[in-house]
Amino acid sequence: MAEEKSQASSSKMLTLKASDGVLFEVELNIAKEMKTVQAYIDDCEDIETIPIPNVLGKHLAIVIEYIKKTNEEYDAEFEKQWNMDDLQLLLLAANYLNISGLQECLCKAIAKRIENKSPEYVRKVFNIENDHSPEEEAKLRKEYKWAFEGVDKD
Amino acid sequence: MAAQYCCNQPMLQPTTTNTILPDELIDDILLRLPVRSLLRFKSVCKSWKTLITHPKFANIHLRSSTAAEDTSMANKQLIFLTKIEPYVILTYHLKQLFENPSTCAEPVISSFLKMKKYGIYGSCNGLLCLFDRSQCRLKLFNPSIRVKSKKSPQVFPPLDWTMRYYGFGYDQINDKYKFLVVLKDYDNGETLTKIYTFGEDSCKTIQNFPCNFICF
Repeated sequence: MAEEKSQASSSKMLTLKASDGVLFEVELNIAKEMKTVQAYIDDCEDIETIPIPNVLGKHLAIVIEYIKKTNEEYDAEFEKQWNMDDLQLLLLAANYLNISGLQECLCKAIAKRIENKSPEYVRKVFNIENDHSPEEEAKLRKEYKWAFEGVDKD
Repeated sequence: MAAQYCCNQPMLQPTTTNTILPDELIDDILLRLPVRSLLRFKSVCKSWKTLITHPKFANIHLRSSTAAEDTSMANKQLIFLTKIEPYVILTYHLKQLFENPSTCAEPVISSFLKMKKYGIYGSCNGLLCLFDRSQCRLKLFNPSIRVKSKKSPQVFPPLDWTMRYYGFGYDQINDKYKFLVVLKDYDNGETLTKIYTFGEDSCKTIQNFPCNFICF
């Protein structure tokens, strides 16, 4: 990433301010990987501090680290450190900041974690209320009985 | 694909627990799940059932799982139809076969009634084209969701013709699956080419189909 940018732009620093007030000084070319931030810079060239109102400092730090280090190896290990809640918050951050590589990495990770889980587990993960009637649910479970075999215990 | 779902509108301050992901992100996650998980998750709630059942979702899921960039063979399967008791369809995941060649792979078994009559005469987009040789009728079977179609009308009178060449494929322009067969009557040397479009009442004959094969 750094090699593509000119000497002048890669040394310019920018400040990002997370929702809880934590400040991050990042190089311009790192910040530009967040397309939302890029759009901000395009609109106001002289800006030095950019507010990121939807992302906590804790998650912004992780996102910035990801942008700096991303490669196949890093991505493969990246998601293992975070619990499901953090993964979802990081996904919201990646989506808001418009970083497609990170969004894809996180979606893949979340999908992998729920792949062999029960519907009850999935409802808890995504805070979804079960609005199927008991009859409907029983019908679905019967129709796809084979898809419920070997599912991880909750 | 991820770019289609990016939401650039400011959202309310997320809480650290009880996160609610917007629909487009849920879609992005669901599209990465295997079919088996998706069928199970129809039970999660009504809106998930509606989404997963929608043909558009199935199309996007198919396209993303057969994408050229996917070199992992994660979605490729090897399928057999056993010709001895029990007559079943065995599905092996290619990835497992290549990753652990020295261990025995476990197949997934699926079957339906009267499987004995059928042979696999083609596959396309995860669908198997099955042919009943005694009645000369076709059936489509999707082993991922274990759903079969009704039988087709008779493609050709079984006793009069021998099948020389056949093919099963997808007509993207008309969104239809088709089966083509070149038949030969060895008594008088005549050839006949038939094409069946799944869902229709009868087969069409193709006139003057080029079939000058050396071994014909």
